[in-house]
Amino acid sequence: MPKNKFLSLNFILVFMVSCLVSIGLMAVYSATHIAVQSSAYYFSRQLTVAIIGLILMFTLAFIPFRYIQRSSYLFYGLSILLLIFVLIFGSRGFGAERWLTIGSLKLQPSEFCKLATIMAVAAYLSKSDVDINRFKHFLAVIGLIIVPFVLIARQPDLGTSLVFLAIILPLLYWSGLNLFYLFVIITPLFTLVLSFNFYAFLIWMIVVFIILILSRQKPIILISVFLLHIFVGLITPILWGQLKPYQQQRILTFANPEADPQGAGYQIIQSKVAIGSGGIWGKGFLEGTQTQLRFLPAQHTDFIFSVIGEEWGFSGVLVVMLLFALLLLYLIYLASLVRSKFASLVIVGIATVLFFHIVVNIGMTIGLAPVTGLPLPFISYGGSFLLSMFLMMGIIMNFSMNRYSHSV
Amino acid sequence: MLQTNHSKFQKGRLVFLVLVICLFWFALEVNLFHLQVISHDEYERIANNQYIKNIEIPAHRGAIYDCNGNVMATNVIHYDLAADPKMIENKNVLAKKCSEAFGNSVDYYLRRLNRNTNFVYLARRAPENEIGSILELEDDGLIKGENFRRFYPYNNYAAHLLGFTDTDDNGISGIEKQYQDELEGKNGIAVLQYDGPRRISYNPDKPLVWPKRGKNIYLTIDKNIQTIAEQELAAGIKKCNGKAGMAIVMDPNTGEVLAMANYPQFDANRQNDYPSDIKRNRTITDVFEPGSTMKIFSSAVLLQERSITRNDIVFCENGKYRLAGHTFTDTKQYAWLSFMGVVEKSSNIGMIKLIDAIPSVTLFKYLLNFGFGSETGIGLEGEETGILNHYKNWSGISKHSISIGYEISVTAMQLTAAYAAIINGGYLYRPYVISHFEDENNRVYDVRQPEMIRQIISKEVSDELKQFMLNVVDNGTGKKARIKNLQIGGKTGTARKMDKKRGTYSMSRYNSSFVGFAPFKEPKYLCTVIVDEPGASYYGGDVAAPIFRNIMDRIIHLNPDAIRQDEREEDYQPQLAMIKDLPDLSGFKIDNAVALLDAKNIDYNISGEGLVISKVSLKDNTLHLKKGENRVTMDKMPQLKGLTLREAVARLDLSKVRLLIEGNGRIVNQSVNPGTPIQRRTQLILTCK
Repeated sequence: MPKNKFLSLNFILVFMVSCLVSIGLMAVYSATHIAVQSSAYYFSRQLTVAIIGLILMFTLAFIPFRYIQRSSYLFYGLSILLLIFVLIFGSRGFGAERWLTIGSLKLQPSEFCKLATIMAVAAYLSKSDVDINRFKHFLAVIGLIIVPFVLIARQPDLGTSLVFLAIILPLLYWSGLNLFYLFVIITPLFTLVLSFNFYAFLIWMIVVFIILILSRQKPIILISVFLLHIFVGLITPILWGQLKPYQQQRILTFANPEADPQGAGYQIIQSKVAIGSGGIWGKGFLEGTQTQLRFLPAQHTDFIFSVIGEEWGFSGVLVVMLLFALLLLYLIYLASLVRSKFASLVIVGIATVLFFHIVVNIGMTIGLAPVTGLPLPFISYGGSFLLSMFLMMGIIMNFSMNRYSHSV
Repeated sequence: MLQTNHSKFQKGRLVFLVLVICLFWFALEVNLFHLQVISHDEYERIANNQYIKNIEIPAHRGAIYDCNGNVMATNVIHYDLAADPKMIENKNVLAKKCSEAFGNSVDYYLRRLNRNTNFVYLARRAPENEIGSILELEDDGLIKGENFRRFYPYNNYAAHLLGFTDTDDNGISGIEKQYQDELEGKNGIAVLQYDGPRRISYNPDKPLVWPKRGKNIYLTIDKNIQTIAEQELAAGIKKCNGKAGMAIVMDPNTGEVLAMANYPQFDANRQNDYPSDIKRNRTITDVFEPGSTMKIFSSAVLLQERSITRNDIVFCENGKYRLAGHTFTDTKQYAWLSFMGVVEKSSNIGMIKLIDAIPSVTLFKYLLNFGFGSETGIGLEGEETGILNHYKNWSGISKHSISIGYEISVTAMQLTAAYAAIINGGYLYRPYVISHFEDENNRVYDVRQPEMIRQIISKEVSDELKQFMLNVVDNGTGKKARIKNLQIGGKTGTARKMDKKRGTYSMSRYNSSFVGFAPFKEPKYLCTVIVDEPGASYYGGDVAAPIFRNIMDRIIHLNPDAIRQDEREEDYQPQLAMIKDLPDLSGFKIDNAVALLDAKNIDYNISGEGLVISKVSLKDNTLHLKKGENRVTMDKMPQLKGLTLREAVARLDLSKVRLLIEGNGRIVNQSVNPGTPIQRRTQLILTCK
């Protein structure tokens, strides 16, 4: 049996993760090649984390399936506790308190909290008496997500906190939320963006109004939804004023990074130059001028993709992009394959986290998304993040092995 | 939820999620393709510009040295001081220091330092002594750019010859311009690479190209002599209130130019402050009619052609002589002068009458040989040739005018080079100011040697002319050039300037000159001094000679070897007193002349065959009368006024005139003016009283 058990490991997943982590290690090595600290510092740390992560991943794969589901709330509670600790004892970095220092270890609880929140939500939604289309249960789900969101946003870590908002939709969607409710949840986002322009806001309100009429819901719901939109439209400009200047700057720079080449747009321009100058085949390993001469900002963490783009060119980037795409599609496939609703929701949640990180990070390096500070999964330097990725993959491997069990 | 429903439900939602993933994936891929493949060249260019920076390392411009290796033009470091206002830590201190160093108000600098920019200039091209303590400020926002700037240690001296450079140190005048290619070095290039935090490092793939300094130029100019010439010329011209002037000191044995001074002066370090018309090197660019200094060349022709000896005498018409409708005058009235006396006293009339014996073509050829009318070959840009018309275009009096320095234009350099030939034994040397070059490895090359062009007169004639010039200084017009205990020779010159508007010679504007040399026996220095439009006195002997003396007196003592304590030769004093009141005897009938000389108790001897006297000379206190066959070769009407009828008739060729006489006694009027060419038989009415 143990032999069979080992063979039933999901090697497709192991292969893709190994490829991505290896590419990431090379990129980290290059990005920190002539750094002030000895060049192997970042690389060896990342390698250590990767090895630990790999062991953790395989370990998780063999844990009895039911333990995972049962420990969801515990894990969630622990994460929230750690987040509160961060707010109180956190060590500072880049204008934010994100790390919890335990001895020589620096932990970023927000990374683990993503998985914990997904598991908690999935555990809640997979309960037989929970119906997402009931407002009470819907609110419970939102509550589970809002708590870490607020805690992380207050660190402040805008990028990571947005991940929590991002996982709401797919989880609700996947758990079978009514399309009208989805509409009610999604449309305020558009209202948010369009509220800055009065005419756009007006037209959008008319569109919302027509859709609401066509939805044939109770008038009281229609009116309250519509009023919600009006409220969002009015309060957004006020909230905008509440944002910290650097956050405002990031959002504004996103619109036109070249307008401020010395300041906020510098990172995006440098990143585009690095990627663009890489060409089809790239400049070669350790040969990227922009990378090696430190033009790139945070090139071993947030902008690691620019390093790959410069040194390996379009061809190298394509390989990474294909690996990511295959990984995501495979996860979605797994999500539809597993019998357990809990497992399915966790997989979708994890896929969402990966997807959000990948799209926002790569979009950021090529000027399509704001500079939010979201790392690239498996590739960016950062122990907590990489470890959390291995945890996620370990859990998915566990689900994959137990795909035919209905759980508890 | 039922299992079957679950599957169906999930299938639809699965497709939707896959679509979302694919949509975003393609959006990213399309953008990456655009960035890395389509816009690749553009981004590559930006990347290269960003990290590669070529920095020129300025090369040293070659220096200019004098003949002893004294630096006459070199480079000093100047600073461009700028600041990044956003980086400056203490604006008040900097503004205060700048105000102290460069003069503008503290507010002025504070305003600049508060500008909303990353770069402001505080001072440009500030020399090290001015910028002084600001250099020591350690402020990250302060930018101190080093530049080389041309510097002339002697400011004014030889500025006209050296020239100057523009703000980019390209020569735009003088030697700086002419030898721009040699002086200019080759800038080096450092390919630096910047990194993200704007740190600079060398790019090991592109090694530093060191700058190559320009070639050094060594001049024949002697800084000490140049200094003296400049100082004395300026002092002398100020004293006589002259408009401009020049002085050249040359080694007459080689043609090396030792000094080349111009007035007004200008400071080559601040050349922009001076009007452009005073910056030209007049010694080679300005032409003038030399006047009496030309008489030495006429004399050289006369002696070399053996037309005359120094003791031959000539009647100087008591200061006024009409020739071909033109009246020549002397500054003093002379009756009889020996040839040497003519030069000594600088008698125009004497020289005009003597030069009559020389055909125009001969004079022209000699003058060409002396280098007039062509460049001296000194090799400086802008040199003028002067004007020497071809003898075929000469008018009736051109030969005579030229013999006394009119109708001919020369440059001071031409005149000096020709005088060198007069005193060095007759050899014309090409004057030169460049001694040699020195390349970037200190190897000497292109060493210029003295270049003898031709011999024009014999050693004997040269010696004789030196004697003439000695007498000019000792007894003649050049007395003010005398230097105690030193024998020197020289020749004065005073020329009326042509009034170009009216086409006549000015009565008030003169060009005064003196050319002299020392020591007498073995001339070491030849010095020409020209004063343009002196104010007070205008005679070359009064204006230029003292300047010459002051220069020569100082430079001769720089070099004690040059002074041989040669014995002063016994003064040569021609005994002309007894013949002072004799009329011009040429053309007299022998018996008339003999009677006259007997009556005056003057010794004489007579040679030759003929009825009339053709030539008179004085030797050993004895008049030598030479008889000629024809009485007069009367091409032109002679001067008859004041003569008795008998004397007049003796001078006339009666085959050419029909004579009518009115009245009795001495002739007071003649109907045909003296000097008028007579081609066919003319009627001449003489009125006597």
